[in-house]
Amino acid sequence: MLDVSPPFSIQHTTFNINNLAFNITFGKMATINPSNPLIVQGDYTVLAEVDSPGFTAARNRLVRFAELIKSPEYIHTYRITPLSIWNACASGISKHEIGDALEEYSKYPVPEHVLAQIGDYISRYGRLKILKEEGRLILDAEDRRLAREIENDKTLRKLIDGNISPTRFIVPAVNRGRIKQALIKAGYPAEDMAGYTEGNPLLFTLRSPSLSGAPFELRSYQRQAADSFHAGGSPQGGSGVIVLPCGAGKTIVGISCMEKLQTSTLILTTGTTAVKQWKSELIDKTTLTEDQIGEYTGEKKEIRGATLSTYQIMTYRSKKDPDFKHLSLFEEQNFGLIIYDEVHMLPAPIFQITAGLQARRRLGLTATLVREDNREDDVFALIGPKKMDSPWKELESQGWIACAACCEIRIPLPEDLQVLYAVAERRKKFRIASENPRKIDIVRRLISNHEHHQILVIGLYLEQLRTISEEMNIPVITGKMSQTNRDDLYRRFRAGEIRCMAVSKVANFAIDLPDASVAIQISGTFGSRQEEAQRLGRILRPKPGENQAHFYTLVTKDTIEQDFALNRQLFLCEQGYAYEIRDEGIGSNFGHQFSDWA
Amino acid sequence: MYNLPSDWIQLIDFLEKWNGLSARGRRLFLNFKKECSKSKTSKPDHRFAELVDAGFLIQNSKKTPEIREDLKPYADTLSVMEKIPLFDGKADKNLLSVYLDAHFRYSHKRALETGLNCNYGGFGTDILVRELANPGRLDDFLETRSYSDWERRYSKCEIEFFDTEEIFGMTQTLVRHCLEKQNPLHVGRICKLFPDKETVKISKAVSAGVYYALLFLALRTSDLESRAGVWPSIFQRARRSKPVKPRQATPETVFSRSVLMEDMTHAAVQACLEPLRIKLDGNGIYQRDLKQLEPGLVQVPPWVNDLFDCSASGRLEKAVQFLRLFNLIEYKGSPGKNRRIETSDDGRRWLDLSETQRVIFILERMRRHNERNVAFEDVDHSERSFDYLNPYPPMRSIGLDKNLRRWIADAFKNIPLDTFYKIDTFLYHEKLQNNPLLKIAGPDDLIQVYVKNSLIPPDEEDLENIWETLIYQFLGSSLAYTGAASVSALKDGSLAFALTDLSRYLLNPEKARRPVEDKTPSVLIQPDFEIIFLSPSPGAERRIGRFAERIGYHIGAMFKITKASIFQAAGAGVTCETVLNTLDRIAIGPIPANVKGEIIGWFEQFKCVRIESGNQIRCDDRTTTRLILTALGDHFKPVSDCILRIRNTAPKKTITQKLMGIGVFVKTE
Repeated sequence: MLDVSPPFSIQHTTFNINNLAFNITFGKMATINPSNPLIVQGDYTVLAEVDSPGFTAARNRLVRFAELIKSPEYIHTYRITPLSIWNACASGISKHEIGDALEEYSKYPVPEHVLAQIGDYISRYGRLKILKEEGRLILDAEDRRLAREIENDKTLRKLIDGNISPTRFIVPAVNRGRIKQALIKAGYPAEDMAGYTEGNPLLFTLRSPSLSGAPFELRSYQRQAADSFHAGGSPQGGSGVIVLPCGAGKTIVGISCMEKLQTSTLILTTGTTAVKQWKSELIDKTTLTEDQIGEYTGEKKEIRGATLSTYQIMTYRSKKDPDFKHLSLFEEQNFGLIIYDEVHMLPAPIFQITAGLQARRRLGLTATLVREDNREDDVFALIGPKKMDSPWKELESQGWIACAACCEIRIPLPEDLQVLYAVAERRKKFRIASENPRKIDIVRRLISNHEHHQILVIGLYLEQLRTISEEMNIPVITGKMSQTNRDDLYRRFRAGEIRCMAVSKVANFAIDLPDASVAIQISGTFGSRQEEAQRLGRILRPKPGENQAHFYTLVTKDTIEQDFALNRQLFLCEQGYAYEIRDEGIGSNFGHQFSDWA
Repeated sequence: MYNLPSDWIQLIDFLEKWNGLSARGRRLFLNFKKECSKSKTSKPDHRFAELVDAGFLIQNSKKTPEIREDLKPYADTLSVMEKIPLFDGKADKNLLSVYLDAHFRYSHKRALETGLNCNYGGFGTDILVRELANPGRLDDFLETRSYSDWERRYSKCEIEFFDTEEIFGMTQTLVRHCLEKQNPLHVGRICKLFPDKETVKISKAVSAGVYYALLFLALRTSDLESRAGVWPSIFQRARRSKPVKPRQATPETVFSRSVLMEDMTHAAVQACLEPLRIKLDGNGIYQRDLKQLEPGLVQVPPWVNDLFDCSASGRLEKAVQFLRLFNLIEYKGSPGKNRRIETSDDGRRWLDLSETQRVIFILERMRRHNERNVAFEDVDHSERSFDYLNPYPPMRSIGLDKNLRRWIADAFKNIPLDTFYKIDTFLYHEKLQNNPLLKIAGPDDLIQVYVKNSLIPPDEEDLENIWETLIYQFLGSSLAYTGAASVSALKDGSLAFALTDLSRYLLNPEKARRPVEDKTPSVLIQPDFEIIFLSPSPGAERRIGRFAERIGYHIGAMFKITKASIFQAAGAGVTCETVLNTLDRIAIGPIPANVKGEIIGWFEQFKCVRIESGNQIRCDDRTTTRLILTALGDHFKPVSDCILRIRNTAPKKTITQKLMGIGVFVKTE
């Protein structure tokens, strides 16, 4: 037996090996300090302990050079990437500031190789500069060796148009974004000092109160986001991505950025409903009038100082004509700012055109920068660096978004479907499980248990939605419904005339239904993390009173839907939403249990 | 002599010319000689122009260069001189032995052994070497008035090297000159020492000095210049400065961790999770297991690692050695078959202790262990005992055990804590000023100290070196390695050390203060199934490691609970209750609802089947049968509600893995 336990309770003096430990970095002594909030890991991730007294100060330093990856309740995870370091360099942060921040707030010695790698990343930044001289874009290399590397790189060679000296290359304006992107991939980010096109002026101010008479003022984080984007009008600002949770008022941030720049703006959204929402917000919250705001959609083709459009129309092409004929909108008007709403949805052609629009200021707005095609880095490279990323739970705790209780209800597959499920191929299996008819009964009970709430039933399969619509006698919105009818139903839902409504994936994004407080997800697109988050986002607008939202996801037990559900929940779990898991076997006392949840 | 030519006039002349070449030319010549010894052909090359011009090489009829025939013996001498670098500060007695073997014939060595008892135990060379490296011998030579007196001492010598008193005097002048000068003498300058003497006499004086091993010839490594000098350690001892008391140093960068404790912890945790396999011959752990352990080792900066003098695998072996010594691990299985290391119950309890407690446990055990055992390999004991002072002692002793331990402890005992001192200054002071071995040892004393592998009584130089090595090894391998001392790299590149509070457990146990333990829990379970360690907690690590996948080491995101890891654990007999209880007990705050729900769900999904004779599996219930048919219907054919036959399309191992993937654990009957 060990003989070391009893004497350790003797309290002579405080003694801790940790206080004796030091680290070797930047020639300083760094003690191990357990009360510090950060743990820097060898894989370049940084864990930040939220409850630590130094958390806020550490976070404020950390966000300048590391990217927030996940932010559950107790520990937030940041990652130091080449791009995050180069973006930090672009905003003028030095190697010592980064090293000092990590050392000052780290509990344990910062791994040497992490500091060395940061030093290496930093040493690469600024060796190439993009300058504007006599109307031409010049790529200026620090030395001949670097210039030779550029000349020898196949991709880069295609993007330059000759050289004016051994270390200076001419870059066609249209290639400004592409060359920046390619240089990042090659590991030598260029410092873009060529500036922005000012665009036509668009003069307006924010209203307070709003036109409707409701009190309106920017919230502190919204102001902070806009300031961080604008950067006082310096070249360090003017392009970037703002990440805020659903319901936190990203539109307002976009409007605030417009107000700071006072320039004609193109706003790209995910659909016509979102266009209308933006328009009504602009009219309500700013001094802009209806005739200053244009809609460029399937219905209308207006181009004005503030032009609203959709990704669909921009990427539309007829079967006969392979060109994206509406993409010319980008160049037709002298827009000084382009806003990409729900930037995580940015389609490939818009990526391409955006690469050529580096002279215009660009703002990306999103709640979930999770792309299943892993093109997050392209968003940062082409739109701009992340300027702000607010943890969902932080805004929840401040009351800016509703508290959400998430619950996964597992429902067994009826026996008659089990054989069908057993023999079906994988994709079909998912559908059988998603359309489990037993879900309908659970939906009914949930609706009856939330009789005082506004409820959205969200699904993927139209047939399933229609069945629910018929059985519950509730309206259903799908992509096939005309925009007018959709708008009418949304309006009635907002007005409280409809308490419960079924929606297909058309309502996944950018639909503002402030009073909806319960969402019942009956099926989804396989393991899509952002769809799950966006659907939760539909009910996160702050609510009067208890400010509580309920999100139910119905999953068929012991099927592949359960596995996909686990993946879908990942993003929200990383934001700190812990799903309660309820098993609903046959004969469960539904009513009793659901009353508990509601 | 083997490698010194008989014509010393020519040799001195040759070496003078040799020193006239550029360093590049000298290196080129030696390389050329090496190439020629491998291959007789060499292509014409303008690089050799300098050597051709200086007459070292000639162009033959095919215009290819070759070494001049008459210079070949000298070229051989040069090659040997290059191989034995005497004047680079590394010369020890072993090198002197190599030098003698390379240059001196047996009969000549016997002659030099005159008067020495070199027949004892086959240690003749050791005795001769000790005699030749003895400064007293050189003093004797310089004080000898007549050459005949000197040569009489070496009666076995058949040749008289000092023909005349004049030559003898010249050699004395040479030796005195070499002792006085900062560097070994440039061979080309020997003649300048005797401007009015003939070359014949000078060469005789040099050769006599060399033959009597009073003077040594070698090439300086940096530029291959030929140099002559007295034996380096004699020169160094004659000129060394007086030791000063070590002064406080200002640390620049500091390293202070208990590497041994962390390595032991890492190995013990791993042995808890998966036994470490022992090689068939019983010697050490399988390379593959070692490789798996290596990424989890604490990173040690190279300048600290030099002090520990240990590779990654060496550190692991040492950790295992200590774990075994303290019974924290046990060897299981029969020798040669499934022999493995598992963490013992004591080991598990040790892992549950805090970091500080674990270090203290090690230090106290080290001290107590040594109080019970002999310190060093004793000539009376066939087995070498393990010792915290140094597991690989540079010496053996008779009756020194306890004294030596006390002396080493005394060397550090009164050093103020947390104050840095330069290591080299400390060692220098210790070996010359505080060396207890110098006071007690002697060939006639009852207490004796021996240099490792030798039974020849050590001389003063040996004792100084032994003490220096002991102190250095104790500092590196015992104090710094356990965290009882911090190490710092100073601005000038040298190292310094400072004793920490922990050193008291080894050196001053009566003054050791028990720590107040921080009981704050430090493990967090995230809703995304990751388990974060805010501080190291090997006890929690070994428990969680049974049902979660490892994703990191020591601190930070350490584990992730996955469906596969739960299935794996369930297959090994871990229950859902154990998992939830463990997480409940270890974690700060409640287990996130989704994590708890998923764990319960995965355990519910987990099923067990038995493989029966032939290709049949028996399921416990119809649900399991249905599950298997649903997921892996291609591989099975139903026989009854609970029995399935395996189709012969896939190997059993694949089937087992696939079943495991859907949560079905296969038991073989």
